[in-house]
Amino acid sequence: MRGRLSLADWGLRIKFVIFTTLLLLVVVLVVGVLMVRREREILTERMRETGITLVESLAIAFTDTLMYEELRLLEQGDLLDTYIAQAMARPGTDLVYLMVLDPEGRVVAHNDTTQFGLTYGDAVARRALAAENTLVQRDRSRDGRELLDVATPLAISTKRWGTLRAGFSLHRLEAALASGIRQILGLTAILFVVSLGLALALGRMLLEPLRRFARVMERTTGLHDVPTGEVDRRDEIGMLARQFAAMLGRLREANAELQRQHDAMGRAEKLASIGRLASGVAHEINNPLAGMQTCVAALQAGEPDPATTRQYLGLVQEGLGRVQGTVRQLLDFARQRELVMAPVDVGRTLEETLALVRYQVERKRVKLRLTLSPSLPRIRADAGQLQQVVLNLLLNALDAVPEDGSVDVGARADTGGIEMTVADDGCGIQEEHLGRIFDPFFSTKGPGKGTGLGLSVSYGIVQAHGGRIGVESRAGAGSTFRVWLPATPDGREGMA
Amino acid sequence: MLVSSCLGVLVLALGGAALAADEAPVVRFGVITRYHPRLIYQTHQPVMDYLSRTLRARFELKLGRSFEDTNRDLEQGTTQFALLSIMSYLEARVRFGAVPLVKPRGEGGQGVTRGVVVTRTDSGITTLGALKGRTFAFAPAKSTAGNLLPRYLLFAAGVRLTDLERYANLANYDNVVLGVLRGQYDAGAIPELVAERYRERGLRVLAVSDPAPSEPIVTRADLPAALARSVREALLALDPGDPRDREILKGWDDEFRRGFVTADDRDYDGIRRMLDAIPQGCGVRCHYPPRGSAR
Repeated sequence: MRGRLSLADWGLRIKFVIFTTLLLLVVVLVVGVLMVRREREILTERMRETGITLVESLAIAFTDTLMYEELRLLEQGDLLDTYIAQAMARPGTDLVYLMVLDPEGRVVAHNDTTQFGLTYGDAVARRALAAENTLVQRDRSRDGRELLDVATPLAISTKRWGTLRAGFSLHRLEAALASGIRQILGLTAILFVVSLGLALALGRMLLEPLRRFARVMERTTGLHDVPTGEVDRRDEIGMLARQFAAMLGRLREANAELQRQHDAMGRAEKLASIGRLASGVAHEINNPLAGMQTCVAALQAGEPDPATTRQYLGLVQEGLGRVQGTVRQLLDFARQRELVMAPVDVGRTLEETLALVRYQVERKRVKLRLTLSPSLPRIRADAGQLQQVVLNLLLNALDAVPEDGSVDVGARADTGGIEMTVADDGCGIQEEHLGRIFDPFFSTKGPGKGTGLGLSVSYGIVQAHGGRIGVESRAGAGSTFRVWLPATPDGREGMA
Repeated sequence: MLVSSCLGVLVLALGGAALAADEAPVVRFGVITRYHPRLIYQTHQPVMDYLSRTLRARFELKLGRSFEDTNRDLEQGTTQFALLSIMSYLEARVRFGAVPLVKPRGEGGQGVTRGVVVTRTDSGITTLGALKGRTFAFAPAKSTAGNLLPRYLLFAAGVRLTDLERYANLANYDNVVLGVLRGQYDAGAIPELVAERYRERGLRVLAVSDPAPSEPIVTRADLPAALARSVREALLALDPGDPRDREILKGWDDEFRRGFVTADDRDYDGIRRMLDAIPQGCGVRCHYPPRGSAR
């Protein structure tokens, strides 16, 4: 079951488009918000200044009026009301109210004449009455609309007759801001569409070479392929392609070195195997030689009849044949050869390998059994390499089992290939060693008894054949090595 | 000491009518309408602030519509103190025994003032004699520097009021200046200090009078002596040589910025004689105090 789609699953182009567009959107929105805030500040400040100018200008006439009223040069109230009415009638001032309060907060004049005589004691009014200079406050009208309250003392020096208060509606300001916000949102939408298109085009322009290069890499299946096309570019893609070509070169060198190391390990192991087989070979040669010596001595000792002579010569002939066969087998095993893949009869390979260890088997009185399934298919493999794998496993098994122990060798057809098994009832492998037994130079045998390369080389051979090798073992209960090889080296099957 | 005694005196002197339960006693201070009322408030309200701070009472300006109003307010007890013109004072002295306390030092520091005759810079008038057949604006009739002294100047120059095409006593000094500057009058009479204030706006001084004592701050004769003394001492204590006092005096009327000196009724005898001497004066020595009254 697939997990949720993550960022890592998205193509570079999609990421580029999304991030570029988002970035642009965020930038535009942030700039927009800042612009709106700035616009609000400017408009508010402008309204504030307009209000202050208007109120302070009116305050001169209002103060003089109150002063003249005190001097009884004017009839009380009428002139103030006239001023207020005229000021309220001026278009474009956004005036909501205009009033004159006496020092105690009582309304002396108001555009709404029903307010006359009332005393204002709210916080805004109290602050306005207490202010020694023009004071601007935010307030709300009776119908809940936001407004600026501008109040200025009606005073000359410290002589104060009252306070002039004017309320300015912020409705036009808010409308202008709303219009600004709409414009910014519209601009953002347009920019979004444009930036999306640009990002798509730019993404295509930037990433298409990368996609072409990816196809080049996809076509480059072998280390000896040379990528072409994109390496000629002078940009980062060209640099990447040249680095890729250089990396292929380094991989080729490393691979060659690895192969050389592998060959050296194989040769070393083969020589070691030959050493381990030496006693058996000697035995295989000595036995027929002893028989032939006896025959030759009998022939030299008297004058045997022709029939006996033929019999002895036949025995010599047979002995020589056995020696020749042993030497040929040894030579076949020891011969250094390139990996030669050819149809191999696995059963025969197993039988020949078992023959190489017959001496060790007999000497240790090990019960060696070979079980071959009847319909064993031929596989494509290097018979010599295959034999070395089996020989390594067999020699290890023979080392592991006690005298009178048993070793079972088998082969059977398996899905897409064959499976060979080498099982013993020997000492087994410690659990902590199981993970390391295929490492080069790892050995649990004493000094001089093993190179530590056998299983490592076997692992390499099986890998080279596209197969797999594994072990099941328990300390004290024996080990079973399983080698699976495909019917053809490229007919790989997944590991179970 | 001065303050505490003053407060007590104020309470006693002003009685319940002048006191609010939770406020400092109110002392009303009249000022003759020598300038436009706005200008009077601007230049005299700081004096009230100073006295209020110093004497722990609430000194308030009380303006009238005319010089006569200011006299009447003082006579009727609406105000306790007043800045009067000399002629107003002389009248108040006769009518209800007003007592002079202090007078401004003035420009020369001698407690004197001068009247000047001014014309517009471009009027072409260079002598007082050239004013014959011209129009002339005097300050209010009760103004010494803007009416009495200039009349003396004209008289001395051989210009009688009947020689003028037209003349009038305007409401205050500012009206005189504006009348001349607007060309409504060919010349006008104002105190020297006022002429200085308007010189930059195109006024030219034709003649300067002899010095006269500056206008007094007076009080009622029946005001407790301690209260009158506290106000006098508070004003006399201002020393224009002291930076702190200079700072206090900064916003005050030009005439007050050099502080005050003690005023005495005898300072104004010369003006009394002038009033009697000229045809426009009353000529019956009415500006002398009643025989036997305190000087």
